Amino acid sequence: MRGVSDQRALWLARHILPLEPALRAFLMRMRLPQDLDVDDVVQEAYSKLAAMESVDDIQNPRTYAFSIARTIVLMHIRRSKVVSIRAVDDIETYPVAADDPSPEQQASDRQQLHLLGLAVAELPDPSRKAFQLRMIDELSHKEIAARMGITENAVQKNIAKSIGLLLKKLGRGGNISAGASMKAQQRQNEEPDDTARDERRN
Amino acid sequence: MTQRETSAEIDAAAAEWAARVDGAQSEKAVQPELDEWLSGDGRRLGAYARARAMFAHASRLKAFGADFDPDTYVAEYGAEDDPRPEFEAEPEKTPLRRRTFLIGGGAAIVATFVGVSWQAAAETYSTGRGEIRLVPLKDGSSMTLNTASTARVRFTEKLRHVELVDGEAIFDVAVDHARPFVVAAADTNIRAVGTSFNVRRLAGQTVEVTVRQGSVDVHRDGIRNGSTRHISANMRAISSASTPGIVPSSVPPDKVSLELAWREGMLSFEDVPLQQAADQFARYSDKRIVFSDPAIGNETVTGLFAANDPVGFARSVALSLNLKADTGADYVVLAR
Repeated sequence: MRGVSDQRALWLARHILPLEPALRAFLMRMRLPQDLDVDDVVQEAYSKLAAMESVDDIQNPRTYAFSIARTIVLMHIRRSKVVSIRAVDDIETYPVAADDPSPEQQASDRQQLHLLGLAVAELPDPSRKAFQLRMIDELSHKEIAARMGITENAVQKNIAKSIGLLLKKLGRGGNISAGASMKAQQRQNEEPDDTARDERRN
Repeated sequence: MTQRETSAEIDAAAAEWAARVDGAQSEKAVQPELDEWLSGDGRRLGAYARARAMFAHASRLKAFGADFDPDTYVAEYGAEDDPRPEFEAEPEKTPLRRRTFLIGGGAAIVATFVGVSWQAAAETYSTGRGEIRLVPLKDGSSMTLNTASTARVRFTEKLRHVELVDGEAIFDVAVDHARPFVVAAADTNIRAVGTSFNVRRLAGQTVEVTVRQGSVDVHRDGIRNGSTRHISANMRAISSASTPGIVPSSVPPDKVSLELAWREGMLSFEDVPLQQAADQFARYSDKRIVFSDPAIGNETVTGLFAANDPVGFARSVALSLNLKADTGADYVVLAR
């Protein structure tokens, strides 16, 4: 039986979600092979964290998540047909510690709540309405359906859409509207690459 | 060969599954089907876990209260660096730990989402054990960090904000009426214009604010009305989770300056039990003071001592109380 317990979801929400933008920046700097993108690695990293028997022994979730991500990248490179020794070397020696965001780079609890409030405001209606009724008023899907005059299936769809958009916004560090999100991604792409080049030169 | 599923497709399906589990109230209700979906591509479990994590995170929206209106919130606080304390949160309900979340006390926030760049303006200062550090701040104020302390400083046009993450610090605040100086220690906020005060936040203990000059307003998050107390010179405010509000008391001026002797690297005790004094020294040095008999820890001590010299302290205590002080590599034992 597979699944994700409420406890584990909460642990991930507390320790991994807030550092996801930093994790993505770290992966972008790494220069992934062509057929692997950051989203793949992030999903796989969450898979590993979700499948673990226990997370109690993880002292430093940041370092842990970063090294899991790196291991995943290495595994893909080794498995691919065209192995560039250089690429493996680069990634093996890529310092996790240097990219490990220091605590002050991470939003505090209250900042995260503030960001969440702002992100919810950007959700389109009726998804936002359904999501608010679920999360704040704690109504069941059935009650929301009755309140909004839509089917339960539509409630589920709207909540799923809200979750997806929030993940895009808060996890990826982008904006909810697609265009702006692209730009943010590009910006993220450019900056880390420059840094990586500079580091290699030194 | 079938096309490999894209991560975006997986994310979309995962959000659907998380919403479905949310509607069904448990995974069990949808188990055989969920199981089958998860057994596909190895990324599915991760995407699903991530969506479930977002549900857990979003349940914190309750903290805004039932009348939360996102548009009003953005209109009022979206562009601001310091959301007002009215948006105090109610305690979060989690099985892991209880904590009060809130938007208030002037947390300095810039609402952009590109990477972590928005936090760039915050500067963090830390001291190691036994270290005391004077940090001059841009506005002419100064912060003196005591041993093993960390503070995060963030100044904006409207607000001077310092979060005392751990430990103790004295703040000598330069007057700037247009820009309040706010120190946040756990759920307690201290607001000053121009003044000198000490804030102590030690793990597992109450937050203590002692004012040397001028006055400050002390506010606890999570309490709506009447929670702000005006604390003036030679007064102390104690704020703890076990008391409903802020408890003020007066402190004689000479005692205030003795208590702030740590700034000069000294510890001052007045009829303080030895155990408590030993705990104080433990903040400054790796060398522990231990007692051969717990009863010795109840004896009291008075005097001014160098904070980084637990052995010297133990020797002078031994002399006055007729005890023996034996020094080991990382401890000193007081015995009869």
